[in-house]
Amino acid sequence: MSIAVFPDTTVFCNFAAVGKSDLLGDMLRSRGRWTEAVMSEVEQSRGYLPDLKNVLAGGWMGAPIGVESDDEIREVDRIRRNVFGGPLDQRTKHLGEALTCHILKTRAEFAGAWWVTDDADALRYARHQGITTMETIDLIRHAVADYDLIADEGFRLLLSMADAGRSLRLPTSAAELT
Amino acid sequence: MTANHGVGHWSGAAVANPDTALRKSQQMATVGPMSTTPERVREVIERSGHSHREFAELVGLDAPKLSKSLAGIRRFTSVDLARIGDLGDVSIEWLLGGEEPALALAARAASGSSTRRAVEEAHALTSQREGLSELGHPQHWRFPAVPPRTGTWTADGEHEAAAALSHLATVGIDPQGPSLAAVVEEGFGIDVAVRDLGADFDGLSVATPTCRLILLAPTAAPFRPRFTLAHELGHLLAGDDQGLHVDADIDHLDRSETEVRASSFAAAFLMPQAVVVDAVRADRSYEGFCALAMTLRVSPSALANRLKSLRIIDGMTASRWGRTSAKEAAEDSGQVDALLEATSLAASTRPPGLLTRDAFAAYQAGDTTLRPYAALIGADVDRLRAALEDDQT
Repeated sequence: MSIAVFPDTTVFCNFAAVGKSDLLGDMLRSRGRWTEAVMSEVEQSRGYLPDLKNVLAGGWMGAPIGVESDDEIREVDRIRRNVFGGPLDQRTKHLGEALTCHILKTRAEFAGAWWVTDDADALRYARHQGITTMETIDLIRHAVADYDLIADEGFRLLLSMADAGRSLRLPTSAAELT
Repeated sequence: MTANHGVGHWSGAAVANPDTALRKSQQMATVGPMSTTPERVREVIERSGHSHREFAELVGLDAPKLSKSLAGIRRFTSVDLARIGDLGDVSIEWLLGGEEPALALAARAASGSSTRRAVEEAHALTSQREGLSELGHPQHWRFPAVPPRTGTWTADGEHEAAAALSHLATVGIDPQGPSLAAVVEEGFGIDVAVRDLGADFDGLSVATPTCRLILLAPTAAPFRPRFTLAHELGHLLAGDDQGLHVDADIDHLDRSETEVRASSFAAAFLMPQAVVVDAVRADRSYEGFCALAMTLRVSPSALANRLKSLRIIDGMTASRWGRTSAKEAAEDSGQVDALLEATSLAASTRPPGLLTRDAFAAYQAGDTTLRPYAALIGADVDRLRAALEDDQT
């Protein structure tokens, strides 16, 4: 069984910022999963990154995963506030990260799944919690390894994301992607 | 008119129709502790004044989904409840059938923007404290035992101050340090925050099962925050008003037992009898009085009152000396630098020292991200991380 990959909203935005959401879909190869909070954040971001409509319409992320039990809803809100610093009066802020972390830590079917984010703070926390993490640059490396992209294309793609104002780790050369 | 109050017994100018306001907000939490989530959501919809269809649209649900959830056929998800909570300004806990935190209710009941902001800020800080406690980073407060009550409120305040000073001596902390906030934090383990809360607000104290907090507003009056802080410390050490105690205007407190005792505590804590008596014995002059006010970092009027209550000066002298301004006292005693230092300190905001320390420890342990710590000190998290990781100066 292939390992599930949970991109954070920032990752969807990186690809949408350069009009390459469909490429992300191809790279995920049906392994992409998201929580309802991340899907909601992607919907909210569609106004300023129109290419995100391809994520929402593509159907390649599968059904959004949520929590419905009272205890889990409480726990997710606690993680949102206590771990990610979400304000008391902005209850959706950092909900995507909190819900994803909770799902990855508690659902047996997602044991070993990858969380992809470019937020250094979230990465550090997730690693401490034993969650396997990746960044957008790692996704590109995998795409190069899988022959979805050649290294030069991957390098240019990452640079173009940064040029579009996205904040992510960059390689110094295409060779770093091989 | 009074301006001090505690949760459960509001009696202040800062609260409009205080008892009614608090009862009304409590009703929301107690409509039934047994209420279900659909019942709570129905209540939010009703209060919003929107139709079900309009409300569904506002929270990003389609109307049939909302209907199914209200009928109990579909469960509300965490995203649904977060959006509904934002729209109705109610907590997730309340939507799940629980109760609103007392401080959230108190903030809603408070009128006056400064008091409301102060209580909201206190709610945010105590909530953060609770979160850190759950993550294994609890607050450790250290209070001396409350001396037996004598039946005389001012005497009780004096005795409590003596116990507090004795406690500080035991742990090796000088109560006359320039930052009383640091003394209170290190000596008693109480968080002290100074936040910009707008005009017309002096301070509050909060006691919850996981937190002891004093919140003050900066001011141009150099010695006022020290008195307010000592007053709030008196409330906490005495265990007054478990919950929240607001002193919006420290100059116009009521004459209740807790206020009289806390003010007596503050005077005796900041101006210990032995220190005052020794100083007066050495110099009984007006210049000596001015110098003592600056040494103790109290206003001349507070010192004059203290000398009068200790029967060191008579009422007429107290009245005359008490009219001295802080500036005059500083100039007459040649301690203008001390005045400037006190003025600068009084006008400055201050993050809660212990809470920031524990928030950083939680980050270091990998229990949280850096964001809660960054928010406490008012820093941009990305810049802060870069600075912490790159600073090799």
